[in-house]
Amino acid sequence: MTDYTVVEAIDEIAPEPPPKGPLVWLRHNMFSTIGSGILSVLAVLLVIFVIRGLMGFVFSPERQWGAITVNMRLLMIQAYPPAQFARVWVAVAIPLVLIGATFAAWRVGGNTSRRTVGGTILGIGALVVLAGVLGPFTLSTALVWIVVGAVLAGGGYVLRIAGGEAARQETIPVLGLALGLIVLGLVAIWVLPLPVPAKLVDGMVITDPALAGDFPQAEQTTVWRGIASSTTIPWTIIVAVGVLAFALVRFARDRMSAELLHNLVVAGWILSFPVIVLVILRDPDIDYGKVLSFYLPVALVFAVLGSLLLNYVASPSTGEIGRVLGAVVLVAALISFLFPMSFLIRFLLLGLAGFTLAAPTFGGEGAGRRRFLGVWVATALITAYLFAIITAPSTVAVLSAFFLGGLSLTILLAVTAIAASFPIGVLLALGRTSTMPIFRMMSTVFIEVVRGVPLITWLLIATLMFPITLPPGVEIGRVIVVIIAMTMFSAAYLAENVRGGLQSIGKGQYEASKALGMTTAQMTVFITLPQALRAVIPALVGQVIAIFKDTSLVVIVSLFDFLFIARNVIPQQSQPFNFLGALRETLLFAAVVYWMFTFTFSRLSQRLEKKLGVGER
Amino acid sequence: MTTNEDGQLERAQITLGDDIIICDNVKKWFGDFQALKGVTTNVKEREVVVVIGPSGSGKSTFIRCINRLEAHQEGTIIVDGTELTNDIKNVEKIRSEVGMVFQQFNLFPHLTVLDNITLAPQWVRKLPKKDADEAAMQLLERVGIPEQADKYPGQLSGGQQQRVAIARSLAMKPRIMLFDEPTSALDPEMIKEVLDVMKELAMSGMTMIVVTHEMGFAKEVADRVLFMDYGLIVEAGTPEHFFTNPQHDRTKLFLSQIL
Repeated sequence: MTDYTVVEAIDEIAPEPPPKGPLVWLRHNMFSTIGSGILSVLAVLLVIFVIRGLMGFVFSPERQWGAITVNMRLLMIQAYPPAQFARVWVAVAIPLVLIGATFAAWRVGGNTSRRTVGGTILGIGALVVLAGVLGPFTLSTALVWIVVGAVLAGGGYVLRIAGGEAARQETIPVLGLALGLIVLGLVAIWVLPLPVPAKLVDGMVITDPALAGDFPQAEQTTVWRGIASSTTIPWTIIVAVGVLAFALVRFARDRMSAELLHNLVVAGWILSFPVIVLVILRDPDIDYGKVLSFYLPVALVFAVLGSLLLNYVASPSTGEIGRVLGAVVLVAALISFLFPMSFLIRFLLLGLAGFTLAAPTFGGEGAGRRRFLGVWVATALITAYLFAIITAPSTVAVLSAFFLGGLSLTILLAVTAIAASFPIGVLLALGRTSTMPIFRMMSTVFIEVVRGVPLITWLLIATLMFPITLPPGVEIGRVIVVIIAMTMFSAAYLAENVRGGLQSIGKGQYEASKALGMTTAQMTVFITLPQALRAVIPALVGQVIAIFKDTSLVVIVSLFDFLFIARNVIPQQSQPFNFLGALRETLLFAAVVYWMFTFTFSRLSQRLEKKLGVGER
Repeated sequence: MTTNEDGQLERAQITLGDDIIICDNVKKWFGDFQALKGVTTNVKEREVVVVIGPSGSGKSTFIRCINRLEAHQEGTIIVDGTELTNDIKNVEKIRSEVGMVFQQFNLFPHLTVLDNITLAPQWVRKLPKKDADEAAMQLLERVGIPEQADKYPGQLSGGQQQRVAIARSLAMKPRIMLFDEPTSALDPEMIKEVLDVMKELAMSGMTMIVVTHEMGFAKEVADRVLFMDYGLIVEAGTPEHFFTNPQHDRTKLFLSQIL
């Protein structure tokens, strides 16, 4: 007899998995109990009714989809002069090039399995069949839908199961798939016809709006035509350029440091928006005499003298005197607002004050100090350049008050408000969590006041009351005022989100930073803020989406944004084609476009979360 | 540094220097609760002091006062010739000379191991990045995990994280290291790897104050053991005195409960 036992570890074979199949799936997931069975049936019925209603609406013979196709330019950029249309195409091309470069630089891609792709095609095919059955079609049209859907679904199914386990292996490159879809999309815009309005004159079909205007009394109808080459050719070129950018960066990425490449692409994204709006679309008519006599000298003086000052302040041996100098520059900057002076000088003084105050914390020896000085020189030059191009008149002659309208105005408002509100919101959040009572109080009051009043009210205040408070002779465009109002509004909400993130950071992080001798500024910039922002990405994206949609409120102050054109302009057209009351079509189109943007944001944020999630606790 | 005949590191050869930390009648309240009721002790350069005592005895509060993570209200603390006051510049200077290792590691989860270590040398000591990187790699070698440099803290085991935390503190080239229960949050099999690093540090002549329940560590490397209770140093002495001949009843009771 022994009073112990010894057990040997033997790996046993796992038991057979339970049988699978559509019926088993249905029983498990939809009909596991009588109650859930009833709910499932009701849900399926609901889906069928929704699809049926939507198909009935879209394919009803009463629909005037031509109202959208013929007005596409109006919806996108309102009255931008056709003679300068190349600028619009360049503006569209830049983000596509950057997307291509980003995909290559960050090695986006990977592989997917035949099973996944086949499943998606199967689902699309099934939807097409369902749409064919439920749509308001004649028998022959319905049959075409059903056959096309069935072929898709069948192909998808074969792809999904053929080869058994082999189908699960991830062998299809996602980027190849994407390229295929891009080519398919290009072929589609060259081949597929769209419904366009036409006038019937003596048996002739006239689709050209310029000619159709001569026959106000003629009968109006809808015909199907291919997309004009003035649209298809630029799109083909732009997409090709985007793909080319991907290929080039892919070629370059193995021959240069990843860090440099990433920095270049990020810099490209940051610069792209002001360049697109201010340089490409607005095309400033710069007065080079004034640039040489004023802007450039001022910028250079600030760059050189500022660098000398910062070089002194940023060196670790300088010590406390640096902060005193920073305070002196700050006071000088504030005083400059009391005297008549160029705004450029005022802003550069303010910027120099900020840099001087930050210098002891973020300066240092050698490379660190040189980088800090480089950032200052770049800031001074870019500020001066922005001043030069903003104050210059535009060469783009438009009849309306502002050179952009429609979707381009919506995007301008949204991107500017979001980009500008981000730093302000972060500062407000830091102010509200600060230990200094005056900043805490000011931030709290600002946030509570701004959040407590509806955005519409702020828009009205900004456009009706704010201009009265300006000194005589100073005029600010309505779009600028609206952007300021939206920025402040968005900043107040962002601040609360960021504050939530700051509160989620454990005491240990503060203690560890302090124990290492970091100053509060260093702790904020390197430790707490990055973690706080990461923690609130979902809320921040929610805020971005909300602001994007809230831009439609600018109709209240008569700006011609996307929704305004869709809702108020097109349904009032009677010439050259009559679209009086064609409101449902344009609204559905507007909804789809808004959704496409917001859905993209939401997907991007999911990717970002996953990527940044690496290394989380 | 020397080793004895077993190849073990030997501490006997290290001679202690002058007083580097002077605490005189240090008192600290949290609201109405008095956590420290007048702590007086001096620590010499290169000395290893182990602080033991039941929870709530004020031992953590005591060492957190030494780098002013907690501000004491009465008494004096002088670290390396500088008195701890509300002057923020003094406090930052002392903090950059006094390393601290926490029970919960408190690594920065959004930075790689290497960046965790180089951040403070780069921005507080203003070291060029290249030098900071090299020093960090040497420290990772020293704590035995150079291969983890590019990982994130969340990908490491507790013992590895604590060793990174020690390396992070050492990167500031501190003259004094404080350890606040460095092994209490670790699984038993990981405690040894952290204690080994701490022993090596003690043998190299670092001034250390260690709050711990690891009596083996205290016996092996401590020059002096402080027993704290009720916010006071109840008994102080060499490890031999402490574990063989404790005087105070409270000390005897505590030791009988944990040994």
